[in-house]
Amino acid sequence: MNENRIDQYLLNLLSPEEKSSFEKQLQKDENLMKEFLLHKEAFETIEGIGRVELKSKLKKIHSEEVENQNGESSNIRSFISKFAIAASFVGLIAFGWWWMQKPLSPADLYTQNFEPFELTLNQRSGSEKLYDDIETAYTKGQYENAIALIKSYLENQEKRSSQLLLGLGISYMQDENPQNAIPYFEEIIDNKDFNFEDESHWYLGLAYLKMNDIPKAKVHFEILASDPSKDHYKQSVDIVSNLNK
Amino acid sequence: MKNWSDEEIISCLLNESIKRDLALKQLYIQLYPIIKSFIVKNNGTEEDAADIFQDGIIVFYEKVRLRQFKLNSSIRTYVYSVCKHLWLNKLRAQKKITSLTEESESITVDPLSLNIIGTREKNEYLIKLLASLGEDCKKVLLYYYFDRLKMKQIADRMNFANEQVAKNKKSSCLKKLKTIVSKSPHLKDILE
Repeated sequence: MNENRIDQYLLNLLSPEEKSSFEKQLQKDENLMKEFLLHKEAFETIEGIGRVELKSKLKKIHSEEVENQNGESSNIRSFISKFAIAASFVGLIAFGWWWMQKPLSPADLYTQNFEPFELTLNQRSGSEKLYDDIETAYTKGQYENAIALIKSYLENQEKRSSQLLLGLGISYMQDENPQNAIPYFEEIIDNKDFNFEDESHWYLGLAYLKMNDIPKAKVHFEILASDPSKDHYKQSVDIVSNLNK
Repeated sequence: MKNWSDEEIISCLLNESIKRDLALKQLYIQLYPIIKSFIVKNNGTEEDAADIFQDGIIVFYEKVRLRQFKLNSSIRTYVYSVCKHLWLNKLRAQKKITSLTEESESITVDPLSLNIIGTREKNEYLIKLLASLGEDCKKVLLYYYFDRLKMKQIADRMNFANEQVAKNKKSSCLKKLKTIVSKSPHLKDILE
């Protein structure tokens, strides 16, 4: 009985008189008030969940309607796409020759396939010095410095940039610390950033190869190898084939 | 492709999930370009534009699902105005106030309506809670409290035998959610 009444109140289905009467009852009845507060918290939680689900759906629509149909990409996506094509082409030629010879070790697979991407950060007008410093450190191979700068920048970001998370992970890999790179690539995937999801799986697979953790490496390469539309599809197919030998 | 009218969009948003998804796609096709143009011209990136637009749609959908959206202004004007306010708030938070280059006419938006946009921390916490709720309970509770469907509609969508089964399921799922909520002391701070 209380559940129905509380529902009607929260869903705004009571008349003004009924609402006023219920509120007076709440003030007098401690147990009812306790029940009401818990019910209200549950109600607000499910509303919050509804909005979170709606946001996920909108991100998916964005990926379908905007990213896939957009001929004109952002600067970063355009560069990553061009780099991915070049890297895929280079990787395919080299890997194809080796594949004909013998199965490659995980370390060899890593060496054959790992290439850091060029970090070109979108800057807002009124450019920030920190962006310049990050790009410079990264480009010059000063990865320890790049790691410190990117982490410093990310600390102040409410919404952490996937570009920077990717750059941070790759900096750790370049600094021979693949285990430290993993959480950042996973964060991009957890954030369901479709722009960088494939790249994150790619570098996660490479990080686990570097750590000689074949089962975990395979998980990520198999994701990319499952769909021809994914970035690094062919490389991943070849890597999985090699790991299965 | 013919643009949908505002009435068509609102009608489909209040309908079953397939029609609602189509309506959301229409909103993207019809409105995203102008929001993207506005954000990019006003110190934002495409990533910002996508995020702000999605939050703008959430605010708009809130009005629709609560049956509070009146067609005094068009959906386009309303969503643009919401996105403009959200972007302005973000620029203020980053201490990057500049004069804005407008893309369209706008209206005043109640600031309270923007408060429903969750922080990343809140959304992550809710996603974790969602995992312990179970799929069927999640659906039933969302249909009842978020989509505001009647028990008969819920029974039809969930393939329950009748309304009473739907009502019983909703009660048991609410009880489950209350248990989860009562064991999450951090939740109250996050919801505020």
